Amino acid sequence: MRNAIETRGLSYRAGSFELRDVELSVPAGSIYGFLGPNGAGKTTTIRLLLGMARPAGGAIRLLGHEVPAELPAALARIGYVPERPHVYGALTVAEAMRYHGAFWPDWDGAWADSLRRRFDLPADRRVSRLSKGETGKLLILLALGQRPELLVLDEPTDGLDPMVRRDVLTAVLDYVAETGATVFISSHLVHELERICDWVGVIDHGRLVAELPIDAFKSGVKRIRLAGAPPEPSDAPFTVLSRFDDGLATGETWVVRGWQDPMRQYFTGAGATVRDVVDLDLEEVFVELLRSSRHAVR
Amino acid sequence: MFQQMLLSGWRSSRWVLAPFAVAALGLPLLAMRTAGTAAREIYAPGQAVLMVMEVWAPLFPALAALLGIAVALAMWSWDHGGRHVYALSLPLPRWRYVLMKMGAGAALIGLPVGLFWIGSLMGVWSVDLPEGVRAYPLALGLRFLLATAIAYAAAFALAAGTKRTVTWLLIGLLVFVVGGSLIVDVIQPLLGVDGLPTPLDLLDAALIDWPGPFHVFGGNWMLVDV
Repeated sequence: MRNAIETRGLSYRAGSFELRDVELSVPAGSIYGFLGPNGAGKTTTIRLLLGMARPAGGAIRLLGHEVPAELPAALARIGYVPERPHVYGALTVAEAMRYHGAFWPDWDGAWADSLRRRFDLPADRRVSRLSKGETGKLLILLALGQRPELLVLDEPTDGLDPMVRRDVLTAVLDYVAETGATVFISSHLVHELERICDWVGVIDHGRLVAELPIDAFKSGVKRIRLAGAPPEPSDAPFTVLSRFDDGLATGETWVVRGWQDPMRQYFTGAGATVRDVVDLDLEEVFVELLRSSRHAVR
Repeated sequence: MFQQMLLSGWRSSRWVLAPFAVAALGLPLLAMRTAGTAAREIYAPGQAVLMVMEVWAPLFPALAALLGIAVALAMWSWDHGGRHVYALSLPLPRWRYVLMKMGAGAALIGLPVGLFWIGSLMGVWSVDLPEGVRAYPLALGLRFLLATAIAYAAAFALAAGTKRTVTWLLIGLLVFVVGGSLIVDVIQPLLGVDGLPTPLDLLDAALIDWPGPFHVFGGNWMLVDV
């Protein structure tokens, strides 16, 4: 199995929102960051992947299982943390763990209990009385206790304080290091994903804008300050994501994708001077990518 | 799995079950105590007991209906609150989850139903029945069980749907009853016939008349009878 998650031509429509031809390929063993602004379609995509909503078209394959035909078999191997807490509030932490464990064939009660102690979750406290951070930890605990081959985390750290966020992500990374499980994590907290992901997919307005290894994602996008920039970059060996006046009379700034250093010659040939080539962090790349994709759609 | 489902069902419905359990135990007991008092104070004790029972009898099917509906709603409350996300993420076929949930609720209903039967027995034992009058605690208990189960099953099926589904269902029913009645009112004089069945007549025939599922609510609910 090369990909833990594969979708082909996945589409969905609900009211004015539409998901169009999403083609995800999440390599097995990777930590895949699914990035997108609020309302881009991250949660909808996850709901479609896990059979919680019915797609209008396309095919889904999870861990080699066709969805929805083999959904229970796929779900038995997947740990899922939803965007909003879904555990029954009237149960205590220990009861919630027993309840959850009853449904999963590979539930590891002893390990789940050691995680509970590590997270400092009181066994006899009702779920409804847990703080937001404690609830976040419990959800991760339940997902990890299943010993899943694939973790699907929908904004798992949204709204959590930095300490809890670190605890949660450390637990996930420890588990991945131990088992080699695949993680599909959606977030709009770009900096957080930058530290842990090795693959990135970007979704915006229901379209998958980019999907590539994080190194390629970051290193290929540069901000270039130019003097005497050519008016039309039609024959450029890279993609211009955006260009704008840098405020100086003589200069322009371009954000380009697919940049390699020998491409400086292109500007020299066009009579321009490259003043500076700056690396962007993931958030800047993300913003530029969205800006360019929205411009292209328009 | 079922044991855990039962536990969660108990947690979500115990405060709903508690008043019903008290009422199920107390109503038949109270009915018989009242009947016993009337039998002692009125010249024709047999007739007095039957008259008191006729007053109390409609409360039993009402209690059964409310109990069934309340437990069904309580069983689904957690799922609706969490938009069914937890249930949908479980690695088992959905029909199996629904059946287990339904079974857990049905098992929980056994508690007030059992108490109703005990209350009926205690009530019958606590009163000296006048001559010519007989007690039917077992039959009434079975009738109560059946009525509760039917109310529970119907409410469980309705509550399983989304708000939108239930709203459309109710709108459809309303349109059928009101629209159908208007059509019957218009057609009857045009055709020159009388006594065409209205939608309410059809519903009554399908659901309440024998062998309709809700027929049990309209039968004999007397704890003591001739």
